[in-house]
Amino acid sequence: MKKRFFRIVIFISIIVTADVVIGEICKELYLNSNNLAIAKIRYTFDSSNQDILIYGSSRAEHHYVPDILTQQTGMSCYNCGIGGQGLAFSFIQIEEMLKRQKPKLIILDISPNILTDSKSDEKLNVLKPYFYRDTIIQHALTGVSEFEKLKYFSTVYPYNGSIISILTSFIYFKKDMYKGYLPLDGKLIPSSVKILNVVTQLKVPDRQIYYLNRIIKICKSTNVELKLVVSPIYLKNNTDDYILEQIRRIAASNKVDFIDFSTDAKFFKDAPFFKDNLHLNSEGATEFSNKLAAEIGQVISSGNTMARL
Amino acid sequence: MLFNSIHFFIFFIVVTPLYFLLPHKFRWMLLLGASCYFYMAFVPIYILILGFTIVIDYFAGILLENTEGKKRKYWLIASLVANIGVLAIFKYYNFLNTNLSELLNSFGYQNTIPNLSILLPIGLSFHTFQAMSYTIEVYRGNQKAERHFGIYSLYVMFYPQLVAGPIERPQNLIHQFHEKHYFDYERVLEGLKLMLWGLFMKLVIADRLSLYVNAVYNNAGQHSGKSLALATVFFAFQIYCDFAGYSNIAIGAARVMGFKLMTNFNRPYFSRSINEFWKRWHISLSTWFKDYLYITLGGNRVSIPRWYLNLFIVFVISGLWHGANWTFIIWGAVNGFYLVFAIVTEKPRKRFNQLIGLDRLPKLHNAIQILITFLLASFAWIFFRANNTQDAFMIVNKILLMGGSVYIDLDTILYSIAGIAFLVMIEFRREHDNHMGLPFKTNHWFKEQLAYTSLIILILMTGVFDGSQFIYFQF
Repeated sequence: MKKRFFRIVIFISIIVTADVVIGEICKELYLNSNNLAIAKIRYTFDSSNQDILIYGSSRAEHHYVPDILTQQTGMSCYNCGIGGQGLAFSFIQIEEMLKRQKPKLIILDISPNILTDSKSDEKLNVLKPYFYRDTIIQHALTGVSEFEKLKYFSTVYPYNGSIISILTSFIYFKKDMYKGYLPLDGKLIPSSVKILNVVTQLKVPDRQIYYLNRIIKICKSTNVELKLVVSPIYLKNNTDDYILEQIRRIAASNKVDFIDFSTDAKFFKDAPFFKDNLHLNSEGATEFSNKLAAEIGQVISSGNTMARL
Repeated sequence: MLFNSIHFFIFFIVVTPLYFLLPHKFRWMLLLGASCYFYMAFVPIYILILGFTIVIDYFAGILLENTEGKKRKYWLIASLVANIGVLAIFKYYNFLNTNLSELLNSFGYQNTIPNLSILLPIGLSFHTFQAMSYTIEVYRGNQKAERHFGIYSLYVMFYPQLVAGPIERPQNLIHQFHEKHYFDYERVLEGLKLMLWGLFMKLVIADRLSLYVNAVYNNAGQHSGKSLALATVFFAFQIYCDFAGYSNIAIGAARVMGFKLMTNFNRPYFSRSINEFWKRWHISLSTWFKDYLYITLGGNRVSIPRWYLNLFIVFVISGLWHGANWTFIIWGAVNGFYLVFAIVTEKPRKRFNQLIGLDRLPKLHNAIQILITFLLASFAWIFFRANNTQDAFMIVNKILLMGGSVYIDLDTILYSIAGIAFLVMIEFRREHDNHMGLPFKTNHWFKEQLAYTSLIILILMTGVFDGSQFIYFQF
């Protein structure tokens, strides 16, 4: 009996020790990782200090060229967009950033496909290493489930699913980043675009609306100017207008700028500017950033905070 | 309730100690209550369907035992009709009605019978087949009718194997509920280790592979033949790890409490023929079909054409058992064809092997046989996994042409290859040693603990914790 008890204690001790030691190694590797997304999250949480900060999904990451915005507005700029992430992630990024700096302008890219992406919550898993940093992150990761929190007793679990990304980042670099902006090469083949002909009017999920309202609220409470921008789309789905109208109404009721480039004549159905239906290539991003910068410059100089396109 | 959820983890650590603390005469109540809770965690109302078949089969069993002559057959038929009727309504009605509509449409008629708006109860085919095996065995005189309603209910509802098997036979399971199980440290440990290995197979291998497989198969039209071929090989391992992982957790959970469930998988991808594959894959279902359908049809004690037909019928019905979709029927038919083809070509193949001298190189011959069997099984899996028959034939076509470049999702591919390599290494060793037990069995205690610690760390580090369902739950 004693021997068995002793063996159980040893086994548990081995597990706990291995978990702590390997967890700490993972943490160290994570903090030094060159993986673009990991490095960017780290930077946007702890180090960004620019005047203009851009948030959103891959459409933010690939569409906004900070150097162009800086050139035309005279303000420093960083692109905090992360591929696949929705408004919950942007809210957490903004919330963490506002704890230590006050930018002059926040641009939040609004993407109809991300707003209705049923899997956007799963993509929040990239925040696992920051679980103990903030209760908002804990809530976003575990919902209201106390069961889920149990997993975080493990030191290794926060790095679940990211170990290969961390390790491979020491071997090779994917691409260079230009102040958070990731240019896309290649041109869209128009025949490859398939448009959803969904007749139903798609409602933006309450959870997304909740986080949008929180972003608006936190920006207002800290006196940081917020602009909601819909960057160009090659061809919109039938549901997109209805989705964007819901966001436009929220913006109007909160007196927040809503700038919609989704039907801008310069980009709409103009394949050479696009990599695919939802993403501008580097040429399109340059063109769009110039146009946006001119728009922002006008607004700033005229003091008009309800500009529309 | 899913085995790969924290919910189940808490359920298990509450139910198991209570089981051992309770006096034997009350244990069935605990297990039955726990099983009801386990099942109701999915869609509570569907417990009524289970209740319906349990009541029917309980009384059918007693009536079968108390009756003699022709009447016995009527009671058996009544029980089978009730069970198959439930399956027909919940699983096959919409499929049949939709196909009827299409058939009538092609002749210019309209089918006015509406489809039903019902969800398929989780694990319906599993517990229905288990219930049917009870009445058949009582009818055949191999099993006494169970008079204790609670114990009979538990036979159908025992939570470890309720929703995805192994599909037990009454001779193996019912008597175990009457026996008193003592706490046995070694047995409990063995059960827990088996559960851990099952969890590893599911979370680390199957669910990682599913990321690539789903990305490719759900957009098959956009992907190249090479990507589809890779996804098909990945799916072969995904479905194995998903289902064998579930079975290991089920068998392990039962073993902790002292119950011995039947083996469901025996390293099927080391089979040297499709015939052998079906003796190693989903053994509880294969033997069910063999015992209750194949032999009833006459098995191989009939004319040769009829024998081939029997094999083919069994596999088509096995396909239909998996799902009400033409993809599953074709999958079953492909496997039936493999078996018949193997029998027909057995002699010419032997002669060919002698001619090229392969029979003098047994190791190489085995390796080639294993590879061919794996490729044949993987080819059939295309129909099992494809979203519809159109997709399936398009995928086959694309794979045969092998055009385009491979879709690279580097992280997922690396995780997947590492997972498969680890699995093959472990299974190869077990195959070589020819043992059915646990994967890390050594005489060195400390080494074994290190192996299981590594398994736990690997689960925490690379497992997919999105609470995804087991593939076979849908059946």
